[in-house]
Amino acid sequence: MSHLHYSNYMMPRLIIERLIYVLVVVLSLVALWLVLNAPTNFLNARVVYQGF
Amino acid sequence: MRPAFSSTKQAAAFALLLLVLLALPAIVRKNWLPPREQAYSVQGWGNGPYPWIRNQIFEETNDIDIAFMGSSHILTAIDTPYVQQKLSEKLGRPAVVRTIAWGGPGYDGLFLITQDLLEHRKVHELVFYDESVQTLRNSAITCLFRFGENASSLTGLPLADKGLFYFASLIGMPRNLLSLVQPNIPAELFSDRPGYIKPHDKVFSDAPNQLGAVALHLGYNANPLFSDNAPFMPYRPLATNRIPAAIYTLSNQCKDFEFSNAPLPLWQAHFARQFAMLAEKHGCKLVMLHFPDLDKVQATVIRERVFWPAIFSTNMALVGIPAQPMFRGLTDDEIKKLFSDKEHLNQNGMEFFTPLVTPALLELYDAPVNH
Repeated sequence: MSHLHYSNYMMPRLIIERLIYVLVVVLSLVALWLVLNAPTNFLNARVVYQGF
Repeated sequence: MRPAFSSTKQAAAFALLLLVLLALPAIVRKNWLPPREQAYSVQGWGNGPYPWIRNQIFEETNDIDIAFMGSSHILTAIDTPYVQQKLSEKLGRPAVVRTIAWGGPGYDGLFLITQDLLEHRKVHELVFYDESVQTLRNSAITCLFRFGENASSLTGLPLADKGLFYFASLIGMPRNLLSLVQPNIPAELFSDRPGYIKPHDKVFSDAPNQLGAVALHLGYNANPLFSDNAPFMPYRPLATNRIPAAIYTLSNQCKDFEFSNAPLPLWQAHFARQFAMLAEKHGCKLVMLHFPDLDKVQATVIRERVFWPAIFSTNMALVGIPAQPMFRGLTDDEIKKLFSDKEHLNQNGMEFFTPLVTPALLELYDAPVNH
């Protein structure tokens, strides 16, 4: 039975594992938001003014 | 499908790496950043005359009588040696006039570079222009904005804008950390060594010869997407009775100026206000100069985007000349000979425009500080 699969001893480990995956997703979303929120010329400075 | 991570330990290591990378701007405090001077040394000539700007902020130490500061419009419009000569004649002593200008508009860049300058040198009169002319961001912000020392300037901005500057700082972080290990050697201001300055950087590298100004030897370019300039033809309009530049202050509300209510991005207004507070703190007189635009050569008044004294919350002076009387008697083709594109004056335009505005700038030099 599934409730027997994880003992009380294993529960904290399971929570930590899940928290790690949640952290990966949250941090990836923060990084994505930072990139999408910024103007593209921050990443390629020379393109904008090289013709000037 | 193969899982993204083969073990939880690997996922944890990845999360830690992301966390450290994303938090770097907040972790690296002011004392751990390389000297501020490195924010300029790292940039070279490509994005503006940054070696000159560095020299003016960190090496030359005397007081500046008039500083022209801002992005490309002011860089190419003012014949700085001419203004210096006229001010020297007026004062009866050698005056110090400098152009400290770069490529890429925005009040954020103006604030950050002015902050560095005023920390090192006293400036009597600071002349600038409307930096909200384009929607493009100044790409040098990734070098100039360092979260560890500039975070306080973001107070009051919405989260999206704060995130943008945080990201700029994040992008600049590898350069900053590398500068700690191996500092950038400042570029030489004058060098005849072949290959030392790349061919397309030569336009900016002439700035030290002109006290910071860049005279564009370019004919008119009608293409907004890439450089397709006509050959440069020296041209000087016949001297006629050009009208002197008008001055607007709160105590002398000149009718030549007309203020509209075009929306100004919040971050632009924010940094404009920070810039004005900085000038006030250092007792520096502010003068906003209006430049001609080829799209508005028939304008009989000087149209300003917003009522600037309210944005800057200070009693600044505005200087400008209505385009129609300024270009009176010139054909459209003759007017185009003064521009390298519809917004930037070339060398002809610089030599035409500077003498027209200099008397007003010299008059304001004597006026009391206007805060």
